[in-house]
Amino acid sequence: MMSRHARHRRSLRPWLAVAALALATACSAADDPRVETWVEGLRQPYSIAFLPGGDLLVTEKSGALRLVRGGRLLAEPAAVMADIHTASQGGLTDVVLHPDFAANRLVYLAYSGGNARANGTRVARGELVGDRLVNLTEIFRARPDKDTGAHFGGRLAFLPDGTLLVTVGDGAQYREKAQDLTSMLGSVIRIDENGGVPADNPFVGRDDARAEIWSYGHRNPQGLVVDAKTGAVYATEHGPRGGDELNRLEPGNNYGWPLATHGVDYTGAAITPYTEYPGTVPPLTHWTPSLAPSGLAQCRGCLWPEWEGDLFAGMLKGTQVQRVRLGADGTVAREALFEDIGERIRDVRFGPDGALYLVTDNVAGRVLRITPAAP
Amino acid sequence: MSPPPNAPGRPRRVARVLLAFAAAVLATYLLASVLQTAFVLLGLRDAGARFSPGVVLTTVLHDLHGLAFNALFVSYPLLIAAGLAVAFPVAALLRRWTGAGRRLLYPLAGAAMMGAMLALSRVVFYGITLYAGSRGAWGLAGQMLAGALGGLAFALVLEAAIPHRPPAEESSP
Repeated sequence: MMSRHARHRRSLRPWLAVAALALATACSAADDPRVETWVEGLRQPYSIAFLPGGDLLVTEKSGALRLVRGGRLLAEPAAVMADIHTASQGGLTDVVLHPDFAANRLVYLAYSGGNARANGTRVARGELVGDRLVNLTEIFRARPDKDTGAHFGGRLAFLPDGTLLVTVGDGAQYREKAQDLTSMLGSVIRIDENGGVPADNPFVGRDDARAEIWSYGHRNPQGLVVDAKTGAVYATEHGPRGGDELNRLEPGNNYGWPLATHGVDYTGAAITPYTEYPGTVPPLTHWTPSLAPSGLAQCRGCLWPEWEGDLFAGMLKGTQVQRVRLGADGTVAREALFEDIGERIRDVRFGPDGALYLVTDNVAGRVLRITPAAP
Repeated sequence: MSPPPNAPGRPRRVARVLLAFAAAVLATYLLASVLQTAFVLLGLRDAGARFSPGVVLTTVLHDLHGLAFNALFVSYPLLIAAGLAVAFPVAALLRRWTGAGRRLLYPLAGAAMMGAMLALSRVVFYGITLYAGSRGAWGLAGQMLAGALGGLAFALVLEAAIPHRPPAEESSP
């Protein structure tokens, strides 16, 4: 026969279970980061750059450089690119500030210029005067031109020495050019602040190579970040079907495309029989099947101490952000974040306030600001 | 008009046309797949890669399977079948009008279909050739050769199945 105490315990069990579930849900909600729309009304935004004083520059694929002040999108663009090729994957892609922007007000833009029959990745530089980018001048043009509307690369990042890295895609039709050092297709370029070739580039002085090339064997690198603490350079690139890659870039290295990849062609055919090939550097990690990596950022002093040093790759097809932790022993751990946003992520940046900013890839695109849950 | 005394019945005729069509698709696909692999590997070789015979064979087999069963958009043999299903009736009409032989018209139709299909795909995909092995004049010529082989297979199987008569006197393709 059951005692009274036992009966009481049994009758309390359902209520205890409900209370525990409610507590767990509350804790989980408290752990969820806060996601807010920081800027809206953008048309296919591609990238952002934070200005001193809190303003924000946003590139739109159509060629407009927009200015955001106090979370409000200014009606008039800061600049509209004239010589721009926006078919298919082309357009205005990246924006970065000169390392000494506070003094010289210089802004660098990556875009695809030309026309359907002759186009390519280009870099222009302008001076931000008031709310306008003036004296906009092309300082770099990837050679040779190509006749496809795909795989432009188009990301920029300044190295600690003040030189500028530019990613250039293989043009899709010309994949083997990524192994041809006389072509800039499928490479990462290093130029100085005026577009000249730094004397210490790895292929300077060789007759069989373009002196602008810094690394090669890339497919379509659309993510690029320089570690603010160590100066290490990381890049993500789209694979075909599978084989999206995260690479740590070093000057002169060959990253393998198309000799080696973990992906296959969209047709089901092999790109290559090899996933690794002698003389080429394998990726730190690869996403197979593809998630389509876009912008890349790194947490250095961000609002999440537990994320220190981790890389964050926006994913277009995967509609998420991949957090990548690189272990000192070579291990790589990955975690999917912000899947519930449910939008293609075009760019990922940490702001000067340490918050995480995401750019969504939509005709009606947004900039999202993400902060940790309130303590 | 009543059919000639030695003409096969309609169901048998249809079955033989279908058999010839299947042979054409198979012949086109086999050669197209092998040539696609060959041109991709040649491109990689020019980019510095080296292959053992075993690796080449494995890649050929991989593509024979992959192009048919692992395509993102559409299976290559299905695409070829759809193209030939348009090209061969056109060739049959031309045969009636011109009196030209099967062995001339069907290979021409197969080659033209492959060339047109691959050229059209480049327009659709912003200048990118869908099948990497068909890039360049030689790559495209290889795929057109496969289409021609398919057309020849169609003609030969039809001829084996259906006695040859002047085009004006017969109702078969």
